[in-house]
Amino acid sequence: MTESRFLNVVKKLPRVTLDNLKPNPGAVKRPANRRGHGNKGMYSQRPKRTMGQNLYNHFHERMPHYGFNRNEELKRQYLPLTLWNLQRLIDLGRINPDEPVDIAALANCRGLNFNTKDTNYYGIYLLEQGANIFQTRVNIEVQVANELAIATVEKQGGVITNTFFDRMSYLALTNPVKYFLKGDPIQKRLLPPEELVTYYTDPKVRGYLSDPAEVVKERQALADKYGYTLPDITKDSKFDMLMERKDPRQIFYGLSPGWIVNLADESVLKPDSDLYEEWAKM
Amino acid sequence: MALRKCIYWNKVCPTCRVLLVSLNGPQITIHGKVKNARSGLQSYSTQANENNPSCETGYTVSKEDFKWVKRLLPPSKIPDPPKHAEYPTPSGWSPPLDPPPDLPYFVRRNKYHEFSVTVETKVGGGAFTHITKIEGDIWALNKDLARFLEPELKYDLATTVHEVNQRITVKGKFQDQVVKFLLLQGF
Amino acid sequence: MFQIKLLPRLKVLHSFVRHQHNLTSVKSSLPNNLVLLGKAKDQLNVDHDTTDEVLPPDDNVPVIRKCVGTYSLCKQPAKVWVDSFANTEMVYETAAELNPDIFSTHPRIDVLHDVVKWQKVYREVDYRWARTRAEMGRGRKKPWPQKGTGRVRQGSTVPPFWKKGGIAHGPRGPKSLYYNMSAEQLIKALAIALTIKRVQSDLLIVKDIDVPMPNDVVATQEPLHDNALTLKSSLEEILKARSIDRNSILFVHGTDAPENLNLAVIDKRGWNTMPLVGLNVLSILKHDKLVLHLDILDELEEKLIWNMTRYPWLEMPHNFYKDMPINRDNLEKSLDNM
Repeated sequence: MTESRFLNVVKKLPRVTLDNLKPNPGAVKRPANRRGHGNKGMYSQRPKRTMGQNLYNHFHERMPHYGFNRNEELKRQYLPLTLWNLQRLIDLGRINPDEPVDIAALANCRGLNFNTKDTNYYGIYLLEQGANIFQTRVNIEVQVANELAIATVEKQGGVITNTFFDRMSYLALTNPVKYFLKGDPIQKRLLPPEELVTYYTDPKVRGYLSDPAEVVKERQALADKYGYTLPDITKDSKFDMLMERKDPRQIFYGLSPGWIVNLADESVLKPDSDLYEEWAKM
Repeated sequence: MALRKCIYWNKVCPTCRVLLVSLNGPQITIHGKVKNARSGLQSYSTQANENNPSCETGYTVSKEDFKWVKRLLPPSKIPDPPKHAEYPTPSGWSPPLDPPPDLPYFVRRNKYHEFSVTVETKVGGGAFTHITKIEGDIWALNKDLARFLEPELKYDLATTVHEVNQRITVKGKFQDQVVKFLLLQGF
Repeated sequence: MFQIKLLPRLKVLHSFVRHQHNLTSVKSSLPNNLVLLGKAKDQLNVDHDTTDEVLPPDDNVPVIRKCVGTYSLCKQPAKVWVDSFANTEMVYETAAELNPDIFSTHPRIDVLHDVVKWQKVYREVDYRWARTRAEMGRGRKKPWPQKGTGRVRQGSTVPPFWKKGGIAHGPRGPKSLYYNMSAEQLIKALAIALTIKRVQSDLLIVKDIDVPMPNDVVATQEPLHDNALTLKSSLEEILKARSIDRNSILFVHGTDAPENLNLAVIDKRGWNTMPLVGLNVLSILKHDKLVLHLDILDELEEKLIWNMTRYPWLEMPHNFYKDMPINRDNLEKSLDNM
C-alpha cells in the first residue's frame, strides 16, 4: 500500500506547533448547568427541579427499599473461566500444557484479571462453555467446577481437582513475586470452613480431601453417564506431570511452608531440623 | 509452635524497590515477623515463653529448589503463537495471511494476536460493535462489511465511520460475524 | 514603524525546508470537506520555485541503517537522507530506513493535544488559600451592644458579608492538579510527533553530531568563552548552508554528550540539546526542527516497539520478570556505586 492519504495532506499543510493543536469536537466536557443552586454547600446537593418538578428527593431516593442484595460483600465469589478461554490461551502459547495449570499460571499469562479490589474473591470457577471444542490434556486445579466441565477434561485424558485457598494464600498465588519480596517464610494454607468441608470431601466433585479410591469409581460413573470411554492415564507419557498434586497445607508447587525464598541470590533457604517438617504437615 | 526469624537487609534499591537480600552471616534464627522491613533493621527478638521455647536452627541454602520459583516468575513479553499442524485451531484462531491480501484497506491485529472488535452494551438494551486498528480506505471496508452483513438482516445496517480516529461502529451485536468476515478476507 | 527585512529568495531547496505548491496543484489532492481558515489559507496561495525540489531517496541509494523491530505487513519502511556535520555542505549519498510503526503512523492531532496539555498541567500545584471567618484572628468581640446604637445588630466583625471578613467557600490550601496518563497513549503520541516531523520535512538524521573545531584555531583550556564563540560560528555556517539558520532546533544525542555542540549552543536562544532519555512531545512540537543522531535510532525503535508489544505490568513494580530487556549485571554494578 502507498503512503496513507492523511500523511500526504499533512505534508502540504502548515507546520504543527503548540498553537495548532485542538481536541476532537465533543471530547471536552463543559461544566454542567447549576440551575441557580451554586457550586458548593448543602443547597447545591439537593434536587434541582427536574424529573417532574420534585424538590425534596432525588430520583433514586424515591424508590422503596427491600433487602434483596443485603450482605452481598460477605458472600464468597469466584472468577469465571470458560473452557473456550482456556483453549484459546493454550493455542496462542500463553499457557504451557506440559506443566500443571494453576491460579499462578493464569495470573502470569494475564488471562484473567485478579486485580479486583473486592475482598471476597476466593478462586476460579470452571464453566462448561466450550465443551465441544476442548482438545488438550491438562492438569488443572480450580475451586469450583461444573459436572460437564469435569467430564470434558477427563474425556481428553486430563486431571481436575477442586481445592480450597483461604484469602491470604489466594492473594499470595495471584502475585507470587510480591509475596516473596516481603521476606516472610511461606505460610501454611488453612483448611476449609465448616460449610465447605462436605464439598471438598466429595469424590463426585474431585475434592482434594476426598478418598482417592472413591474418586476412581466416580470417574468411571461419569464416563458411563455421558457415554465416553475413559482413557488410561497410567500408560501416558505425561503421567508424572498429571499426578502432581499439592499437599493440603501447601500453596506453591514444590515449595513447602517454612522456607524462605531469596530472589536476589536465586536460592531457597530451608531449615534443618525435623520439627519444621512436622509443623508444615500439621 | 512459634516460628522466629531475623533477616539482615543489606541494600534497598530506591528506584525499583528491589530488595537485595544476602545472608553472609552467622546462623539465622527464625523469629516471628520482621516489624519494619523497609529500613535497615538488623535484628528483632521476642521474649521466649515456657509454652513456646526458642527453636533456633541451622539452615541450608539450596539452588536446585529455585526451579520451582522460576515457574512462578511472570513473563514481560507476549509470546509469539506456536505453529499448529492445521488451521483454524480448536478455539477458532488462525494467523494472518503472509503476504497480506491485495485490498485497499488493512485491519491489524492487536498485541495479543486477535482482532480488536469490542461490544459496548448500554443500559436498557442497545449495543454497538467497534472495530479499530484500520489502515487505508475506510469507506471501502464499510461497503464490503455492509454487503456481508445485510443479507441476514431484515433491516438496513447502520454504521458510523469515524475517519479521524480510524474507527467503524456498527449498531447491534455483530462480534462473531465481523470476526468471520475479517478472517475470510485474510487479515 | 520598523521595516521588515526581506530575505533573498533561496535558489537551492534542501529536503528539510518546507516547499509549498501552487493552490491549483494542492486543491486536487486535498479532500473536499477540508476547511482552511486565516493564515493556513494565505500560506497555500504563495508561489514558490518547485524546480529545485529534493525528493526522498530512491531504491538505488545505499542504505546505511536498517530498521529494528517488527512492523505491520502492509507498510514499507520510510527512507530518509543521512547527513553529517563534518561537512559544511549537504551531501545526498546515503540513506537510512525508519520503522513505519513509529515514523509513519496515522497523524492524530487530538492525541497530541491531550498529551501536551497533560505535560503542562500534571506538575502544577495550586497554592491558593483563603481564610475563613474562623481563621482571621479577630472577631470574637461583639462590635457594639445589641440595642441602643441604632445600627443593625452584629455579633462579630469577621463574617463573609463584612468588608475584610472571611471568605465562605474559597480555595482551601495547596491542591495538586496531577492526573495520570496511560503509557500506551504517551507512546502513541511520541510516534505521532515523530511522523509529523518526518512528513513535514522537519527531521534531520545526522551521522556525526559533534561540531568540529576549525583547523586554524587551537582549542584553549581557558577561557571556555572563546571556544564557545568559535564553535558557535562554525555551527552557524553549517546550518546556514542547510538554510535552517533561523529555526529553533532540538539536537538529540545518545549517552555520550557532544561537548563541542553543547558549548556552541549555550548562548543561542532557540537551539537546544537533549539526551534520548528526555525526548518528549512538548519539546518536539516547540522546536521547529528535530536533529537525531544516527546511533540513537536503534535504542529508540527497540524501546518503543517493546512497549507497544509487552504484557501490562502486574500490581507492583519489581525487576524479577523473566525476559526483561534490562541487563541485571549492570543494575547491580550501578547500585554498588551508590
